[in-house]
Parts: sequence; C-alpha cells; structure tokens
Amino acid sequence: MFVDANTGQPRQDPVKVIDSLPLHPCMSHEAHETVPRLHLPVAPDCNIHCNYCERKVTTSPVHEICPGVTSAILTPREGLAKTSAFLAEWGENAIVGIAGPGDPLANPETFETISLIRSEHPRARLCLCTNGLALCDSIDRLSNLGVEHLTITINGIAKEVIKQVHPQIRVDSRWIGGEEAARLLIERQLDGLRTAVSLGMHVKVNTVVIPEINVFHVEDVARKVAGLGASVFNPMPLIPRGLMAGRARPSSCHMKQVRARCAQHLPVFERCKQCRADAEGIPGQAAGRSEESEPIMNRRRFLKASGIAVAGSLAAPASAVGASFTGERLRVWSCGGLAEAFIPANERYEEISGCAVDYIGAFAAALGKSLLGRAQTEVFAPRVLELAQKLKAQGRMLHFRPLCFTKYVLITPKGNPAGITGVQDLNKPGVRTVLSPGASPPGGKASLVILKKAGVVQAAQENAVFKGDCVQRDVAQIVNGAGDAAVVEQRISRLPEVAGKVEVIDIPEDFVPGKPIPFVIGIMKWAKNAALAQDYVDFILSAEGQALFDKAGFIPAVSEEGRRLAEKYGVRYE
Amino acid sequence: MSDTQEKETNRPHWARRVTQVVFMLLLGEFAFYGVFRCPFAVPYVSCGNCPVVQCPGRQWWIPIWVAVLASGLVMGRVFCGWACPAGFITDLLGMISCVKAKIGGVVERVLVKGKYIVLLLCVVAFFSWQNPRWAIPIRTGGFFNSVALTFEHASALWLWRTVAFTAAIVLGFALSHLWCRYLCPTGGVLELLGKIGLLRYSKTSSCNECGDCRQVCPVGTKPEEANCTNCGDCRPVCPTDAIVLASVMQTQAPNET
Repeated sequence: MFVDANTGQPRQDPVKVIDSLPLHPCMSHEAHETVPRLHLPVAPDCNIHCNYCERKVTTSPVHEICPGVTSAILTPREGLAKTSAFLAEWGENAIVGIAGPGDPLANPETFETISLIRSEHPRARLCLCTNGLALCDSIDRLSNLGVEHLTITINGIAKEVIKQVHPQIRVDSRWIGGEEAARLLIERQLDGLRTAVSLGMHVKVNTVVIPEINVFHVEDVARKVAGLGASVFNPMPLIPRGLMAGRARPSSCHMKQVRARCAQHLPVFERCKQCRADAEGIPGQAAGRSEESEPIMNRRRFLKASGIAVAGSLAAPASAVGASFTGERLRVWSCGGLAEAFIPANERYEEISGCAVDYIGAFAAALGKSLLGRAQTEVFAPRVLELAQKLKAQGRMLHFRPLCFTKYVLITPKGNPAGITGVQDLNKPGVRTVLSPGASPPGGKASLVILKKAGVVQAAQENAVFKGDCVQRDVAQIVNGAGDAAVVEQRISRLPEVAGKVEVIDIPEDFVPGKPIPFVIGIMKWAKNAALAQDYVDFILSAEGQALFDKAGFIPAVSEEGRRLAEKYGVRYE
Repeated sequence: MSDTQEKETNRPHWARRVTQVVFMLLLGEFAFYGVFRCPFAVPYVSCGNCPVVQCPGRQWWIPIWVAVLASGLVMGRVFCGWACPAGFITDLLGMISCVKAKIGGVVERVLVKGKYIVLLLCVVAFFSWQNPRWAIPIRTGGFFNSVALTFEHASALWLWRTVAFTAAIVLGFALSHLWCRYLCPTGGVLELLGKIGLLRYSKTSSCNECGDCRQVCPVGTKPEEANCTNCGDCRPVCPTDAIVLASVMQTQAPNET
C-alpha cells in the first residue's frame, strides 16, 4: 500500500496517513493500540555485528526492554504451540512475528517455524524483522510462505556511517569488515527492500538514531527508502548498550526533530517501544509500564557508564519533552578562522531546526580569555586543544570533541613563476618570500616553525620582500605576484579573494607543529537547552556539516584523514 | 523680515535632509563598522584585506571611495553636508543643541588646520606603518556582543582612536560640528579637492556683508570660506540673493587664498 500514490498528497500529516497503513501494531498508530502481536524467539544466531546490540537470554524477564533480549529460545515446535495458544487467546487478527534475538534469516529455524504455523494456521498474519543482509536470498521463500509484513533495520546508506555501527558482517560463513562489508550490507539491504516491495510486502524501515554517527543521516535513509517503496519509517532512539554503552541516548527533542525531517519523505511511525524478542500482547496497551520504566533505567545505565560530567546534557531533555527548536536561540562562538565554514553551516542549521544561531567568530585566544572571564556562550569551537582543556577543567565547558584540522600549504602566484617545488626551495637565491611573523598566533608563528624545521628559515627571512602581521593581507602579495611563495593555512587559499589565483603545494607533515592544527567543538555549561546544543553539534559533525569545513579548506574530524590526525595529536572526546 | 519667517528659512532644505537619511541607510552600517569594529588604525581604507566578514565595506569600499572623491572634484565638501553619516549626526546634534558655540577669528583659523594634521597622521599610519591592526577583529557576530568584544580586546591606541572620535562627534552638541570642522581627515581631503573642483556656492558682488549666512550655517562659515560644505542652507536667507552656485574657476577671488 503506497499511500502517497493513492492520495497524490504530500505527506504533510504523517499521523493521518499512517492510519491507512496495514493493521499492524508496529506500522499503524491505530493498530498499535488495538492489534496484538507475538514475537517468537526462535532465531538465536546473527550474521552481523551491531555495536549497540547486547544479545542475550536473561531470566529476569520483565525489566530489560530492548531488542535482542529474550527470556528463552524456543524451538520451532514450541513456537508453533505458543502461536496456537496466542491466537486462541487474542484472535486471528493478531500478528505473529519473528524478531530475533538474532537475525531471523540467519536461522533455518525461522523458516521451519513459519512453515509449521502456515500449515496449522493458514490465515495467520506473519511478520519478520531483519537486518536485510540475507534478505535477497530468502525473499521468495518468505513470500511463498505468505509473510506480508517485513521490518528492515537500515542504519545508514553511507559506508562511512555503517562502518561505525556494523564493524563486521557474515557472508558465506565468513566474517568480513571494513569498507567492503559496509558496501555489501547497504547494497543487500536496499536490494532486499526493493524486491520485498515488488512482491507486495508492506515494509517498515527501522533506523537506530545514534548521536554523532547518523543523526543527520537518518533523513537521507528516509528519503532513499521512501523512493524504494517502503511503507513506513521508524527512527528509534539508540538504547546505549554493548559497545555503545557510553554514548548518549538521543533526547525526545532530538527525536522529534529527526521524525519531523523524515516525515517529509514517508509516513513515520512514532510509537515504537523497541520490544524484546519475546514480547507479546498489544504494544500500545503495555505502554504504560514500559514507557515508565525504560527511560529511567537507560539513564541510570548511561550515567554509570559515562560518568557524571555529561549528566547535564542528558538530564535537561527530559524536562524539554515535546519542545521543538523553533523560535529558540543558540549562542555559538568559534575561532575566527572557522567563520567561512560556520557561516554557511549556521544558515543551513537554522533552516533545518528553526532555531536562530547567534554566532561570533573571532580570534580564539581572545574569545577564550573572555570565556575564562565573565563572557558566556553555549557552544564554543576553539583552536588549540589546551584552551578547550582549560575551559573544561574549570567546569565552563562540559565536554568537547574533535571538529576539524587545519593544514599548512605553500602558495605561489598562478603559474608558479619561481618554479617552487617544495618548502626547501624557499632558500634558493632570488626567491621572494612573503612572511607574516606578526599575524595572530598560533597561525602566523606556525609558518615560521615550518620554515625552521625545513631548515630554510634564515634564507626565507633574508629573501622576504614582505613581512606583515596579517596573513589575509599578506597573501595579496602572492596573488599580485610581488612575492614568489608563502606558507599559509589551506583555508587561506580557499578565501574568495585568493581561491583560484594561486598555486597550492603540499608541505610534509613532519615540518608542521602540532599545536595550531586541531579545532574542537564543545558544549558550555551555559547551554540553556542542552538538547538543542547537542543537536547543533551533531549537525556540525554530520556529513553535511563537515562537508562545509572541507570546502573551507579544513580536514573534517569525521573522515579517514581526520581520524588519523585526531589519533596523532591526541584529540578525543573529553 | 519677521522672526517667524527667519526661523522658517533657518531650517535646512528638506531635500538635504531626505538625502542625508537615504545616505545614512546606504552608508550608515559601513560608517558604524569603521568606528566600532574596524581593527585598523585608519578605518575605511584597508577593507580589501579586513577579516571582519560582516562589514559591508569589504565589498563596497572601493566604489564608495571613488564616488566620495569624485564628489569632491565636482563640489568640494558636498559629501559632508549631504551624505556623510557622521555629518548627519552632527547636524542633528546641532539642531537640538541650545548652545551653538562658533569660534571665530585667529583661533578658528588655527583650528581649521587640525583636519590636515589628522590627515597627515592617517597618511603616515597607512603608508609608513602599514596601517597596523590596533584591535582584534571580531570577524562575525551579533551587534552588541561583537562591539563589546572588540572593546574588550582592543589595544589602548584603538580605544583612544575610537573614544576620541566619538567624543568629538558628541561634543558637537556643545561646539557645533567640532569633528567636521577641525578634525575630519576626509573633510580635509575633500576640501583640498574642492579647490580644484568644478562648482561651489559663492557670493556675488551684491553681497552686503550682513553675516546672515554665517548665522544659519551649520558649520559656522560662509560661502567660499574654509569648511563650507556646499550644503546650500544659506542661500534662501541671503537678503540680497548674493549666494549662487557657480564655477570654482570663475569665482576664485584674487583676495582668497
């Protein structure tokens, strides 16, 4: 059932649209309150690793509400018996599904169970939850067995994202990882979705919303799967478990934003309880119990895992439930060098979130001094790691993480008239250098350190035709050909007045001092709405946000190169 | 001439006020940035490599200067009286002020040279000192915060520069057009250009030296004399209709140097 095609209406009001979805408690809000479902835990094995998953059979059944958890594994026969009893109690309208605790398609028992049920209860309404890796191989079988409902968990459609969530997958009895695994998983999930839709199945796509990893990618997933014919989309907040136990759970505010963005593309299911693999009953009616106990438990677990320092960022959202960012203001300060990236990023974020960003970009050391005094801001992106660490040590910054890195390059006038090939050439006689020793630290000074490490500082100073105190002004000497070469940050070569008017030559990293390289972004203690501040930081670190930093000449922290530099310079979440 | 009539004509022509308002809208922001956000010793002239991304001057400084200087060649200090945002503010301050002290005589003749001294200082700062940055540029930011941060992190020299300018403008309340008459380096440049310019207000031989024009003049001068901004406010009050807009060449009196 493709609601959009029928109505021809834009999906402005997902709640209305969703009620014309199949009468399935996990796809339609109406059915959620009325239709019972049974999860049969017959599938213990799994074919992928999910960093957020902690698959287990536990004997303390009631308290742990989370996918991948069950109190026991049933055999297909036991599954059938359970089904018969359940249908007798709840009626034939009920949904019977298999949702783990592993991946149903990685377990032959799944097919055995479904066959048994089908022969005994020809009218039973069957459902399956899968990660989609093996979907293409078994979709015909499922279709023949009359499985009409399918949920596929797709956490991303970009390799970069998937690599961070699913480090390994099992293909043909072999575990593989990395880029190739991510590519394969995405390809198979999307193929599976396409095929299932073509066979007339109702497909829901789940995406686990993970702060800093895919918050701003979820909408891309929604757009993609909507195009492939998914009926309904279910973004689920991360339950921090397994290898992600230390991560923050997205707040209600956060989720509301995500859902709103996704609802532009297809109906969004908003009542998911993220049930166990052995759940039974009407999900909407069990809600009272699970909704009450679940968030408290997760918060406690989260606090235990990650310490009290971040509590502020998690405690606030609870009181802001249902709030949206429209009409709110967020004060953001950053190192001035980042302005060319922050200005377009802020414009985009204002568009997405509806909040207004009060942005100041200026010399980080000056802003830092103000913040160590009486000034206040909600998000701060400084240069030089020590400044962030100092602010954090004083409790003014709650926590910070890598944002981007700068890179030093050699620029020459167009056509490189002096034939410079590298920084060593700056000591050649006749090469006219442009230096900015007086420029605001640490940027200007770093250029001299580079020359020193390259062993050419003395010659370069003797060759200098211009010694200024402002890099932006001094590069004009290169643009107009008055100088032959200068060492500048790559970002300078991307400024509108310089871009395309100079040649850019790389400088070996060994020559570059570490101090001015990293930029971090942190949330300050003055953040009025911690959820908003976190959402903003998530956006800046999303693929879209980071692309703007790349464009402005920085190396984004969320990139292969960025991760290498973070490791090298000791920049991490603090 | 009755009192009421005189007051009527005392007012600047409405066209001048409208023009001033229009130019305030066009140039006001740039003017403001130059005083309160510009990191350079001499504002408005290093915009090509200024890091303050918000300032409209980054885009417009060259066309603005071309237009201002061209206006100087056409009509001397006409920019001061018709378009300059600071000139507009001092005009308004002068209007509401009850004291309009206007110095004359020798003191005036000495003080009038002040703007050439300031101009010389600017030239030295720009060419010899490479127009140093005396403040930390707040590249982009909200109105109040950015100004506050600029002041917070500015050097003493920058604070002197900014405070002195602001004080000179505000003191225009007591001493009419203090900044414009004695200190403004742009006024100095335009005044020099005016000497080789095309047009200016001048007095014909029918002038009876009654002094009414000096009375109404916002900057306390007369046509053809130093500081005349060619605003034209004096023309309607001249009892003998001796004030006319005429070619500089033709009206260059031999006694005037």
